[in-house]
Amino acid sequence: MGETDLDLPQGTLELLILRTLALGPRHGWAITERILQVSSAELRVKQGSLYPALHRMERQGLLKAKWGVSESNRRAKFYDLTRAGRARLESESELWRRLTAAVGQVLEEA
Amino acid sequence: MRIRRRWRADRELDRDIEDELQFHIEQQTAAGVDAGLDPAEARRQAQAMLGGCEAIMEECRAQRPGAWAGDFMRDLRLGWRLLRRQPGFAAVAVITLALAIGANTAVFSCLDAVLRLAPPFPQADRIVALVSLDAHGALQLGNPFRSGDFADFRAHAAAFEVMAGWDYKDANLAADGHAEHVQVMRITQGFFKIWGVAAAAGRTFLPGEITADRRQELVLSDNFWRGPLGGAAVVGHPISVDGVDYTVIGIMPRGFATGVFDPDVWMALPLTPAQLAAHQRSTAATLQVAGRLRPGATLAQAQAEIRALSMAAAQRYPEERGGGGATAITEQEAMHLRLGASSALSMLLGVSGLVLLIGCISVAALSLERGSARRAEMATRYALGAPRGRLLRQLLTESLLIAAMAGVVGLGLGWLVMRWLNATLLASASLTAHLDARILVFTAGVALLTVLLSGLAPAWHNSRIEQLAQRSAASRTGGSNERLRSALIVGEVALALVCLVASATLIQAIWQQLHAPMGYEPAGVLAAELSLSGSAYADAQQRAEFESSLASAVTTLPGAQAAALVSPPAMSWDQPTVQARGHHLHASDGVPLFKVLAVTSGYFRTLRIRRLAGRDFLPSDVPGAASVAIVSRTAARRLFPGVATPIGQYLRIVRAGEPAWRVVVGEVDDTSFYAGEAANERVNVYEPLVQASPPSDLGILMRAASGPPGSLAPGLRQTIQRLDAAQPIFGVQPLSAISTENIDGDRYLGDVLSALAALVLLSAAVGLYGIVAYAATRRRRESAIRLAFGAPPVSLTWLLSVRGLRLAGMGVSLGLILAWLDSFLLASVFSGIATRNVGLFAVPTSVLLAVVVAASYLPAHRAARVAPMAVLKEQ
Repeated sequence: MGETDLDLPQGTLELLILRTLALGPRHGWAITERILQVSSAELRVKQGSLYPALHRMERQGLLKAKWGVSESNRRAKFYDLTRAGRARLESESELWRRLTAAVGQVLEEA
Repeated sequence: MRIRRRWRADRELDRDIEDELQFHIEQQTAAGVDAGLDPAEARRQAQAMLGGCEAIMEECRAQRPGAWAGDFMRDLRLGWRLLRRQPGFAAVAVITLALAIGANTAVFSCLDAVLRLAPPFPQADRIVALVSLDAHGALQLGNPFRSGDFADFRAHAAAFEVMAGWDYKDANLAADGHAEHVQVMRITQGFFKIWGVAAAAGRTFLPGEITADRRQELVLSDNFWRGPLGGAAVVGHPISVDGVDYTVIGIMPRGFATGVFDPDVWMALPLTPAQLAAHQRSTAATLQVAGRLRPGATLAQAQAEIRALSMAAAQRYPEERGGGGATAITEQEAMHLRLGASSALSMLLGVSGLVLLIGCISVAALSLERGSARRAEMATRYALGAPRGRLLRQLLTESLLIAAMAGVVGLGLGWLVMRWLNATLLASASLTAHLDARILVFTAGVALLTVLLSGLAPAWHNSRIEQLAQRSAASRTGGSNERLRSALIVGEVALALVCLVASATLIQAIWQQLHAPMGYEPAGVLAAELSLSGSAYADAQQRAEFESSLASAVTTLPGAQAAALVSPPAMSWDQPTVQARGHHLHASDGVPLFKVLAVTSGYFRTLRIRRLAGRDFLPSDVPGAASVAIVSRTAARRLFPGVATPIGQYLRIVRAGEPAWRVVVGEVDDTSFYAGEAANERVNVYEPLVQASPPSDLGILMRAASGPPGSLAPGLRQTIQRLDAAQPIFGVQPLSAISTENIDGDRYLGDVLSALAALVLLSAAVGLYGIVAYAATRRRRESAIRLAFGAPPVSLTWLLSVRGLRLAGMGVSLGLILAWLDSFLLASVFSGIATRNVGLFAVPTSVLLAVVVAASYLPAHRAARVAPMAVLKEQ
């Protein structure tokens, strides 16, 4: 905490959620924690936009949700990837790599 | 059912989101506590990180399919709860709008019935009616054509496939041993071909059948066949009409020509060669004429031909008819002209439209006032993250709820009013309005319109939270929404005044018609009719004897104060040309239409027509003695201009079998038989019945000594029965019923207008009250401070109401200008009504001002009586 948060470019949050859930079902709070942790506390997901995104992706069929019991023994909603979600993760990751590579190249050459 | 299920599902989903977010906060709090934070602080931080729960929920909901429907249901539920918490507001808003919607529904349903009126014939658009024109080119419906003109049209107008003429006469038909009075429509060749309707039983007249030697056949109407004839098998059987045997050849179907003509019997009218060549009233038969256009021919062609042919005749016989020729119009147009109700109903729709607008403004004003009370709620929801669009939508949904309730109640009210109009205004035009899909769509549309008109401005205004918040301090001394409120007041008052002045103008015109002096007293007089057309009275001597015994019998009938015979009967008259010896009628003055009435000597006494000079008819005025006449005041002036008294002057009634000159022996007051008839139409010439050419129809008039005139009817029937058992008597009714029947429609129109005017006042009062109450609420704090410092409540009341009054004053000024402009519109739609006298503007203005003052004073008065400390402690 403390340093300036990085703003996520448009559409990136979705990619991060897909990638995080590729490791297994998680609930909303665990997703933010995981992203924060893996990104060495650089990427702090705006919690206000996380849930609308989850609900949107669930509706688009990328995620499926199930009510389960959390590690603290409380009712919680767990999200998991669907087949479509996995496919989307692959295509989006590929796109992202090409985009960052291209942008990186331009930044270095110019 | 589906909505309910979906509603429940939505509620569950909402709970799930709440639960999910709650879990998130708990996890975050737990993480904070693990990091060493105080639990309360950890929770606060967790909540801050998540942001507004309401906003997230809103966004999550928006991801759902058909999310708007869930929002809508939620808004409806919330709106319903709020309305139940403010039943006063809800009731006033719903009733105000329901009255306006009901008025519009009722008026629209009537207008719809009138506009959908169409001739009930196949290919009716090919049927045209021929109509005379007056010298100025205005249509003169009902003015008949001379048989010679008709023959010219039929022979030379190429645009017509078929053309026919007809006239009416009364006759007595012998049915089942008793006599029945019938109205006979006498028709020329081709009549039934025009309408394209075949007989339901038997047949109509065949081509070539209507000739002088084959006239003993008749066709019955469905009504007469089912009614007096009891639906017996009569086709092919003989029936006696006026003592002559006819064969029934057919019965027309039910509803044939509904709203166009409605006789009991059709008979052939064979025109003689002499009549077909006659263009002058003295020798010609008079006919109504219609035709069917030839395939391919246009209405314009028919009009051009009829114009040309009729102008040629008008130039040859300038003293006949109006002198403006004739034209052709579609039967549809003729029907609407005969009805003459469209302009009145359009005007009613205009007024009720304004009533709706005023009602909407009023409800908008009330919503504004209510919005001020809900500012806290709106601000809270905004702070919790509800976007402004959602707040706006919620407020509009509440308006929709009110409008929907108002629409349902309004539909019910409209239906009741429509039923009343069916029994009154429309009954006089034989029309019926129905509540059908079109009306329902109209009402729904009107209700939706009220949502926009009454809901949009206040919703827009009340949802401007950030500004409300900024202004909350400033608003106590005024604020920037003044403009909306001012516009509402000025607009509402101006519209109300326009409505009131227009209604007052028309109500006054109707009142004047109803109360115009008629020159006689119809109240207390019983009228009845006889038809002496049968062969029993073909002999002049027999007729005279019957008339004489009838006259003495009715005069001496117990209970009759005075009685008389008149021909033609009440409310109809003969209109021959009348000439005066030594005077020439100037055509430039317009030739007056003389009404010639043959009467017995008790006529003026029975009707209480004032005698101005000379004498009444006497028993000595018999056929052998000098021929005499009595004239009305206007007739005397028109016939003998520049002469001091008409007594001793000579006049002649131009018709066959008339003696040379009659000497005028008396002058009586003008009478207008129909209420509202113009004075210059009261040109009456009276002749003694015994000196008149034998008329076929006879009217009986009896003035009751006391009690209702109807009490004379049994005695009258017995008398007729004794004199001639085969003679049916008909049209037995109080004279006052006949003399005002032409304005019955107008009278009901006056009632409707009065009701609308009352509605305008009510709506305007509700709106003004709402606006002034709103302003007073916003100034509660200021009022409390003023009171606390010792300001007298009276001056505070004045302070709170003066602004509303000033705006109402502006509204009145604007309204007067608009009403002035509107008066030109009214004058052009309703010719001949007074539209611009001071009273028509002054009376509605003062009534409206009184309402305005009351509606401004009451809420201000109430607001000025607050307990200062209570108010000041509130904030």
